Amino acid sequence: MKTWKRTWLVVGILLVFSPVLAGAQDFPKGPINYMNPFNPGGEVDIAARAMQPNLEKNLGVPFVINYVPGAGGGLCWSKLAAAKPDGYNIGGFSIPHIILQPIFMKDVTFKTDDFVILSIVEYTPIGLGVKKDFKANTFKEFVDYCKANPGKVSCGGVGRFTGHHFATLQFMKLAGVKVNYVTFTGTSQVQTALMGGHIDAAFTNSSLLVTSKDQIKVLAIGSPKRMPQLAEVPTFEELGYKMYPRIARGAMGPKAIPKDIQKRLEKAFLDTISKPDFKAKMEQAGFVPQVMGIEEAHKYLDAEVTEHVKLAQEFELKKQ
Amino acid sequence: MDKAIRYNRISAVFFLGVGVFFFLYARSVEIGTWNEPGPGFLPFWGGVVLTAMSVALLLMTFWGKLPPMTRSFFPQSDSWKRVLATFLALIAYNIFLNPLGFTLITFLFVAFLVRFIFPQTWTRTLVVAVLSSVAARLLFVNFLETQLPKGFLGF
Amino acid sequence: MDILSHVLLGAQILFTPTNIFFCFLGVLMGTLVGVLPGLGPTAAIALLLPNTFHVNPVSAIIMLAGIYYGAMYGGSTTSILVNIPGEAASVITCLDGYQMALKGRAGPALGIAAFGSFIAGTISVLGLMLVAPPLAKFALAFGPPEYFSLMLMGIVILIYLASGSILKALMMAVFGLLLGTIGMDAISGTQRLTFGVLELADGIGLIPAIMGLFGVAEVITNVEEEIKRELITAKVKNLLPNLQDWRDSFWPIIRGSVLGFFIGILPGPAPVISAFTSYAIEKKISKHPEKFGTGVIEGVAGPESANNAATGGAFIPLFTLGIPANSVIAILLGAFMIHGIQPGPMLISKYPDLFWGTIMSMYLGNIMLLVLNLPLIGLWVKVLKVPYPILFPLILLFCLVGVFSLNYSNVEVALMIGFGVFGYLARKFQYEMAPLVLAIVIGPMMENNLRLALTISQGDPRIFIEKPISALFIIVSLVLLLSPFLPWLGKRRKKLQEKVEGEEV
Repeated sequence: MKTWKRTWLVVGILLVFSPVLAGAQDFPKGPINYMNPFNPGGEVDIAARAMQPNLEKNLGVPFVINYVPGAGGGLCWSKLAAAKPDGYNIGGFSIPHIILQPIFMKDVTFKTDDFVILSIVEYTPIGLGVKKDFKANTFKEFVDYCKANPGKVSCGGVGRFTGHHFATLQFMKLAGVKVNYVTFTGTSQVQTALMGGHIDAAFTNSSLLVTSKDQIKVLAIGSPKRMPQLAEVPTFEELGYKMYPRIARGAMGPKAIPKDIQKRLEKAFLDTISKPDFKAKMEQAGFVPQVMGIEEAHKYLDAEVTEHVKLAQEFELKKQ
Repeated sequence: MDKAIRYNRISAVFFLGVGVFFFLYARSVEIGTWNEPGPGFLPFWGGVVLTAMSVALLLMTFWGKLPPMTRSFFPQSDSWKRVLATFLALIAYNIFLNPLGFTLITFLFVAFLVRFIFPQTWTRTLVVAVLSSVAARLLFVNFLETQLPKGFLGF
Repeated sequence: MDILSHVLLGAQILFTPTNIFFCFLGVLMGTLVGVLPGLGPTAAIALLLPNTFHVNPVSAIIMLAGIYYGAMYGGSTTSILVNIPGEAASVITCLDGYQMALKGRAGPALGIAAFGSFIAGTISVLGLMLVAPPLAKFALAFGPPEYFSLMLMGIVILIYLASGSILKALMMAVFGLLLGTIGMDAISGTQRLTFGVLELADGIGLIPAIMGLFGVAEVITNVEEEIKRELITAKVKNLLPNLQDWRDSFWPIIRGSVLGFFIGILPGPAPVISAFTSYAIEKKISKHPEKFGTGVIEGVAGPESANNAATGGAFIPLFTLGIPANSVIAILLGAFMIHGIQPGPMLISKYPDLFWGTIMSMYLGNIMLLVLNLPLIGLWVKVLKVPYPILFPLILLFCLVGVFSLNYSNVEVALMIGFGVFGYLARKFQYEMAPLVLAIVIGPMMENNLRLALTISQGDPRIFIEKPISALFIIVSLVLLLSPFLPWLGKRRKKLQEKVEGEEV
């Protein structure tokens, strides 16, 4: 009888503690829920779909992409910050959006450091495109034109307190000119307006510049070195402007995810994005693929935070 | 008082209130100018226009001719009970969807409405409620893969 | 440019068992999803997108395109039968379609919607085949000023939809404009009337509004009285449109198709705009405009054709410029990119099999839709025969689930219920829903483009008149606004003339 009781006691204790013991070892046990902060077909979606098959192989479970659009991504990130930190709830992000939104938008309930960045998978440098029949053909001519016509050149971008907005502000400061910033609600609207000649110029994503490069003139790009897809386009650096505007994207989760689960997820992403076919797909679509794990990504994030906070102060922007 | 006059007056006052609310609210966000409209521009002018139209409608109830309204507000004396019950059922569904889970709340919702609005027999009620909650579950969760809430009972 | 050889190429691509299967699957899924209120083509495509990765791009696009117009058609079914629009474009179909159903003519309504959509779809595919590239340039010519003027014209057209008091219809329209301002202002980033609720930052969702105003309000109005429902279904006689119906619908269908196709090229909510523009036009040139809103078949034939043709037209910017005309096409665009296809002006020449294969699939898809849906008409009519005490909870259930499954948001369900209350009361006080809904759709676009245009021109309002297309729309708007008064002038003259003649005699 005593042996029975003891056995049951041991079994009972093991049962109670087994989830804790087993938890780390056999993650993941079920499908991973990946929250996409934007609509299907967007940049985040393209990267996610390109990664999905390899991620599923690597993790051995379904990688389910759910769309949670709203408030320019803010809705998804607010929800992600409050999600269960068990590793099964992760999502996509854009830098600098997750930096700028908590600073400037009321109503968002997340903070930049609520998250652990698992990986940065790509970024799109922001470049300058002008409409086909615009009087300037080079970057220098563009700057001169802006100087001669202060406030008259219409320059489109997506939203306020976004990468495009900041790129425009940076340009104005470094060049000492004033352009007329025109806000649109989506990249395709900027694209249409630029191609149709309704706006003079736009600081926008490389993916768009690559796609429409025959319908517009691309004068400069914000990557450190020239992009292979835009070989004839000089970088801002070459032109003497130390600006590297870009939007970086990847996967993140709530900060409190246990460290070993974080590592497991990081490994899955790193293995996937270092594969050549992923890189090729990204480049073809006009992205610059990256392979950054948690530590590197957070270094990047911190650098971006410092820079953007500084810029925000310089531009004297107020919270809305 | 003629029904048409009374109803139109009430609704005119309602829209008047809405119009006034909007143009007062617009002043707390930037209205801007005609050349550079701000976020408050449309709320302001829209509110003004709506207020003006409501006043016009109100005046018409005093002076002009309005088409007659024959239906009384509630066609049957117990109409209001059914209307209210249905609304409450909808609100309850929204509140209890997450705690109780989709399948269960659907069952309760359908059963309640079938039984208490236009009373059917208990057999009919149960059959319809069970069939609909199960079929809906199969359709939405299993086939269409929508993420509907599982309640505390786990299904 | 040998069109025949292209067509043959496309046919070759299409008529393989795999692609025919995908076409069928897409159309079927699309119709199913379109019929379910709340779930629109966006949801369907997003759901099925992952399944397309294992197949080649052409098959994937064929299926996705099938879903798109299958869903457009499915949306009209619920509009006619239970006065619940499947999506914004079907709101117009409710106006006369539902009235026809109440008179026992649900069959002909559904039938003419099916045939009209088929004919319109065919015409728009023809258009796509023949004139795609030049038309794309036309789409690019639309910038903020042109859009504003177009939307303004749209608002003016709204007045024509009113079957009752024009003043009250206008009040609903302005109210809709005001409701459309709720949310984060795109241009300045200010939150307007969101009360700290993040879900409202993108504005009042269209689907909760439609479901509430049309679905919930309709059901609750019906719940007031017992019986009566059965009478309606007992009177259903013919299931198909008769000869007279065809005669009445022929020109509306043609007009609607052409109109819808051209409007569809423009990025934006083209199906919605083409549907109600068609309705307004049919009403204006009809010999019996006062009958619109009571169940005239022209009021179904025209708009249904228009919104289907607009769906075809929406593919033009996609194929020729790589620009999505609306969020559904945006997903298709993403699908292109995921499959490694670079969208842009070179698409047709670089991937002819994709383009022509898809075009041929649209023909086939339209035929399949017709074949699929006609027999279903009998089935749908039987559904109506389910006793209302049992039917109405199910309708409400669909509304609830439909709205909730959009964004898994209780806030939106609450919004729907709120709109339900409002819609219920509005009916009592004799206000119409359609102007409100359409204003909520058009309002934000109109406001945005107004401010964008003025930002570009730096405050100079002459931009609206200087640009030719924009000026055209403004002139048309003015004409439409003033034209009700012209007959009055004409009548006065006639009276004067009669008086003179009378005296002479």
